[in-house]
Amino acid sequence: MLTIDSIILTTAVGTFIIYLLAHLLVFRFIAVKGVLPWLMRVFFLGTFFNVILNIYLSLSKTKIMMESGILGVGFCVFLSFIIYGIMSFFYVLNIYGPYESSLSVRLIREIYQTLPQGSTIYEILKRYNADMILRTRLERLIGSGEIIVEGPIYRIGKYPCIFLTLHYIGRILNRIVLKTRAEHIKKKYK
Amino acid sequence: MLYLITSILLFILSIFIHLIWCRHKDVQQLNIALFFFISSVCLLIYFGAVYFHPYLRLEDTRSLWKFPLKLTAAFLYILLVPYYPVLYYSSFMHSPTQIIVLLLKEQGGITLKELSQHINDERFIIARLNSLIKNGYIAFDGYYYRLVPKTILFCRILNIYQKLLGREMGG
Repeated sequence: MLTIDSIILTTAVGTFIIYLLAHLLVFRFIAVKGVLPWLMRVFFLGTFFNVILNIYLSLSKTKIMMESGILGVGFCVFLSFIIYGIMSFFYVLNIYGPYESSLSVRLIREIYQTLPQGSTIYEILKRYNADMILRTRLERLIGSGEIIVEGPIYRIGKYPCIFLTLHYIGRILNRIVLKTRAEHIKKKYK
Repeated sequence: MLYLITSILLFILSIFIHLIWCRHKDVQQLNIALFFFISSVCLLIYFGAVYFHPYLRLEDTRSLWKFPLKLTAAFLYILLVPYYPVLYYSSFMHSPTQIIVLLLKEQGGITLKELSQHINDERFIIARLNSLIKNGYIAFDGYYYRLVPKTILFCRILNIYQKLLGREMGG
């Protein structure tokens, strides 16, 4: 007999596995400009499976679910979705994101191509440089609708920008840690 | 709900303890190992409370307040812990994407030529290579950049991931 805890965790982890498989399958065919919108689409596909799995388990394990009532079932579905969302976001932020867009990872991999001799700065710049970095990012941001291009001018688009949101959260956190610490040091050495 | 609130409050508490600790350190860094230690202690406190405290031990499937979510709350806590350092470090690392969107936000509109003045090799290639050398991920003999053993292993893992993903090299 499944407990409510195990139903939530099974559906969340199960959905995440489906998300991961769909991600690995779909992203073989996605161009750079499609990366950000397809990340969202695959996430919504996972959400769909999450709801289906929850409904299936709720119906097949009626005894527990009947006890908890509609509000309880709704709460379980919501929690399962939240956990699935956190896991997916973590995967994108820490595994797929760095692979797809980290400069350091790319530089390391460029040097890896020339093992055991290594690369000079000129060889590295020939294969990977600021111009490539800029064009790839513009392509990605235009593809996701986060920026738009009007003639030769680039502007912020109508869709909310995840990079700005992350930047502001990080900046607040940074300010809390560093500013309070800086004030403390100032007082200490006065 | 009670278990979720307990775990989230303990997560906030671990952040507060960590911030207070950071205030009393002179080094300008996050002391990440310490945060993981504090959050592990808070997780143990959570398990101790839900399995031994007389009020928290009782579960009730009919009451949303005492809904049986002991493990879900603990799992949520474990998932939230790595987000704190990741978001913190993302504010230090000025990625080219962040710089592009910040410039567009500040200036309204900008041309490719103006953008390329901010995204240049010195700032994003040379500086990153220097940072990689400083952190011991690559070695530089004055002419050649070479990988150290741990970075070679990392690249091999990335190659496996690339095969699974079926995409070209990112960057």
